[in-house]
Amino acid sequence: MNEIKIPDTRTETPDSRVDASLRWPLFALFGGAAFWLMAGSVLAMIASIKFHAPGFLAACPWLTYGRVQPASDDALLYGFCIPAGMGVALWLLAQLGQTPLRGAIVPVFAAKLWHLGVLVGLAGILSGNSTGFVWLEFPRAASVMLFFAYLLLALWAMMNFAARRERALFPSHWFLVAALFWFPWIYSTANLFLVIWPVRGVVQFAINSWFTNNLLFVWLAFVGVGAAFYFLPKFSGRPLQTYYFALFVFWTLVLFGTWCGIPPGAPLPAWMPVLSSVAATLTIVPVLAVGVIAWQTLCGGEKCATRGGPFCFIRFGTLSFVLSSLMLIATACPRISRVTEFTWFGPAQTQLQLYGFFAMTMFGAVYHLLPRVAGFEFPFPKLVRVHFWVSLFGTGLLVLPLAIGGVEQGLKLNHPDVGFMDALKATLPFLRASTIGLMLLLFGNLLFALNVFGLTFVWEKALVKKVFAAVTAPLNAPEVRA
Amino acid sequence: MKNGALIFLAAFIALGGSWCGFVLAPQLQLGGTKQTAILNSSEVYPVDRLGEASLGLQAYRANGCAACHTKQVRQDGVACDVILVNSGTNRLAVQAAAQAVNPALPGLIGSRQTVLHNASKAAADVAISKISSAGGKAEISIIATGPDIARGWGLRGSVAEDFLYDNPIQLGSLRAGPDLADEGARLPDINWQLVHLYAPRSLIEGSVMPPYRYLFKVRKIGGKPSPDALILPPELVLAGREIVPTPEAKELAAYLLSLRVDVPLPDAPVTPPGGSYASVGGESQAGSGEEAMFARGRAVYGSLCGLCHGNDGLGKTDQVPPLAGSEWVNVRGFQRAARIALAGLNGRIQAKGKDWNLSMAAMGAALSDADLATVLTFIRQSWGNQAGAVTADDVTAVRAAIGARPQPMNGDQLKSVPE
Repeated sequence: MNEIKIPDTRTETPDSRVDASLRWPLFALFGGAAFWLMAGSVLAMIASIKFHAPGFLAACPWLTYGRVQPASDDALLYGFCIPAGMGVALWLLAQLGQTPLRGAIVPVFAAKLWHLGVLVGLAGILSGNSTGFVWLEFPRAASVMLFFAYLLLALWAMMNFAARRERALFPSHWFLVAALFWFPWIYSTANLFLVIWPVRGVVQFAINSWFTNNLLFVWLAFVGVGAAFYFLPKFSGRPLQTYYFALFVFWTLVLFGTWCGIPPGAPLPAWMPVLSSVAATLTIVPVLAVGVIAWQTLCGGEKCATRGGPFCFIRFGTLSFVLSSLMLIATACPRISRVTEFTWFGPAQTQLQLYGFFAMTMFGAVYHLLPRVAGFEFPFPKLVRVHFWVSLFGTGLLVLPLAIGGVEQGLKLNHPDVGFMDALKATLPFLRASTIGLMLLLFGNLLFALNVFGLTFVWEKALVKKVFAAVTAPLNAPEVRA
Repeated sequence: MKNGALIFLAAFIALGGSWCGFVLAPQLQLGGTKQTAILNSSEVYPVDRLGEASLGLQAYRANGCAACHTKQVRQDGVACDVILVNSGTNRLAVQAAAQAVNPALPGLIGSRQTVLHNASKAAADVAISKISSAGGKAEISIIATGPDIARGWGLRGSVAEDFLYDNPIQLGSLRAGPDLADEGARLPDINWQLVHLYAPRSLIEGSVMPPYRYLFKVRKIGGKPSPDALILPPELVLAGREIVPTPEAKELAAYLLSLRVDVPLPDAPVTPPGGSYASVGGESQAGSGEEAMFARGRAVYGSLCGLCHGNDGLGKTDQVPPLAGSEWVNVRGFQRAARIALAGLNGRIQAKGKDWNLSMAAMGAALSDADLATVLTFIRQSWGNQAGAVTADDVTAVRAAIGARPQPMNGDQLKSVPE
C-alpha cells in the first residue's frame, strides 16, 4: 500500500515512511472505532432515558434495557477501546522500532473483520442472543471473528516488532507486547470455558470475573499506560522519570493486577475473594507509581510546541487511570465493598476506567498521530479543544453522580428498615443527572467522529484525485517528440 | 536489552499464574461438585430445573434481567436462638436455669419459648447444657444475619451449591431492582409475576422496571377465553380483550417461581422457622396431631410469609403490616384472612390503625388447602393471637366461593365480605 504517494508538505524522513505504511490499517481501525463510539453513546443514552421513563421504547424487544445496556458497554469496549488501542499499539511499535509495516493489507482485512464481528455481536445482543456473561455477551460467531481478527493484528504487530531497526527496548514496548498476547489468552479461555464447553456452576463466575478484570483493568492498563509512557515524555520534552520506575510498574501490574477482580461477597470458596483483595491492595503500588512517574515527567518539562489538545487528553487520561484504579482497589476492600457492592458505584468506576482513562488516552493519541499518518491536518482542528472540555465535563457528570448515588444507595440498602423502593428513589436524581453527562459525551464523541471522518474524506478525495490524475495524465513528452 | 526473551518468558509465567489461580484452581476444586445432602433431611440439593423453569433461565438471559437484578444474597454471619422445647418434669428447675441464662425472661415459661435470642454459638451451648442438666430439653435455632436477610431476600446467604445447574450463571452485579435469589419464596403467585412483567407500575408504585409488553399478546375474547389470560387490576382491563402471556413470558415466570434460597446446607447452616426444612408444595408429612399441624403451619409460615411479615409477626415498619393483633387475622371469622391468603391483596387497606398501600402475592396456587389451613391456624394462634383453628375443608369452601381466577382485593372490597 505504501507505494501510493500522497502529496506531502513534510520532508521524507524515516518517521514519515513509517507513518505512510500505516495509513490504510489505521484508517480502517480508527474509522470503525469512531463509528462504534457514536453507536455506543446512542445506546447508552437510550438505556439512561429509561430511568426517566421506563416505558420509553419498551414495546421493542431489541431496545429493552437489559439488552441496550450491555450492548452500549460492549460497543464502547469492543467497538472503540480495543481497535483504537490496537491502532495506537501498531503505530507505537512501528515508530519506536523505526520500521515501516509490511503487508499492510492483512491488518486492513483484520480491522474490517473486527468491526464486522462487533456488528454481528451487537446484533446478537439486541436480538436476545447474548451469552449472558458480563463483558462477554457477544454470541459465539462474533467472538470467533474478533479472536481471529485480533490474532492477525497482533501477529503483524509482533512481526513488525521483531524486524525493528531500532533495537533498543522502551518501557512502552513491554506494556504493548504483553497486551498483544494477553488478550488472545484471556479471550480464548473465557469463550472456551464459558460458551463452548461451559464449566459448571460458580466456576463460571470465577472465570468470568478473572476475564473481566484482566480485560478491563490489565489489558487497558497495558495499552493505555504503555501509550502514556510514550506520549508524556514526548509532550513534556523530558525523559520518562524514570525507566526503572516504569519497569517496576510493569512487573507489579503483571504480578498483582492480574489477580484482582473476584468480589469480596461472591458465593465462592473464601480463598478466592481473599486472594483477590490482597492482590488489589498490592496493586496500589503500580497505580500510585504511574501517578508519580507522570508527575515527575511533566513537572519541570519545558513548554514545547507539541503541547495542545492531545497533551490535555493524555494528561487527563493518566489522572483518570489513577482515580479509577483507586476506586477499583477500594471496592475490593471488604468493608467498603459491603456498601458499594451491587450499587451504581461499580458502573461509575467502570465508566471512569473505560472512558475517563482509556478512551481519553486514545483520543489524545489519535489526535496526535492520525494527521501525521494521513499527511493532512484535521479538517476541524479547533474542535479538538472543544472535544476535550466537553468530554472532561461529560465524564465528570457521568461518574460523580453515579459514584455518589451508589454510596447513598449502598448505605440505604444496608439498613433493612429503609424500604427497597425508598433506596431506589434516592438514587434516581443521581441517575438522571448522569444522563446529562452521557449527553455531553455523545456530543464530544460526535466531534471526534467529525474530525476522523472528515480527515478520511480529505484523504480519500486526495487519493481519488491522484488516481484520476495518473489515469488522465498526458503521455510522456519523449514519446511525443519521437 | 539482551535479556529480552528471558524477560518476556518471565512475564508470560507471571500472567499465567493468575490463569492457574482463577481458572484452573476453581475448576479443580469445584468442577466436579455434585448435589449435597440437605441438613437434617434425606433430600439432596439442588435439583435441576425442569420444563418451563429451565427454559425460563434462557429468557432471563436473553432479556438481560441480570443488568438490574442480582441473584445472590449476602450474609454477615450467624446467630443462635435457644428454644425451650420441653420443660420436662421439674418445671421450676428448668425455669430457674432458663432465667440464669437470660435474666430478662418472664416468670412463667411455656413450651416453645425462646430462651436466648441472637446469641453466639458458645453462649447457646452453655444455655443448652444448663437447661438439660435441669431436666428440660432445648434446641438451637441457627439464624443467618445481615441486611439482605433482614430484608426478607432469603433465609441465608447464597453459596456455591445454589448455582450448580445454572448455565449461564446470572449472578448480576447491580441492584437497580431487588435481589431475585428468593423470588419464588417471596412471591409464589404466577399471576402476580406475569402482571408485574406486563405492567410493573400497576403493582409497585414508582417502579422503574420497564413494562415487558412484548412478552404478551392482546387478543379478542372469542367464544372460549384463554385459560392463561392475566387476571388484571381493573384499571388495565381492556373491554372485550384479554392479555395472554407468550410461552417466553410463562417460562420466565416459572423460572422466577423456581428461585429460592431457604435450604439448609452443611456449609450454610440455617434453621428454617418451624425447626425443619419443609418443602412447600410437597405433601404435608406432619401427620394429623394438633401439635404436628401447628408445627407444619410454623414451617410453611417461615418459608413463605415470614420473609415479609417477620417471624415475630410484627411485619416491617411502613412496609409490611403486622399480623400479631391485626384486626384482619385475630378475629372470630376466617373468611377475610383466607381470601387474602388465597387471592392476594392489591391497593389500600387499614390495619392496626395505619394506612397501607400493598401488593401482596396470592398464595392460593403455591399452597394446598391443607397447608393453607395449617398456616392460617398458626397465624391466628401465635404472637398473642387467639382465634380459632381453620380446617382444610374451610379453605376449600372459600376457594370454591371466590372461583378459580380470583382478583386480588383491597381493604374496602374485603370489608364487604362477611367476617
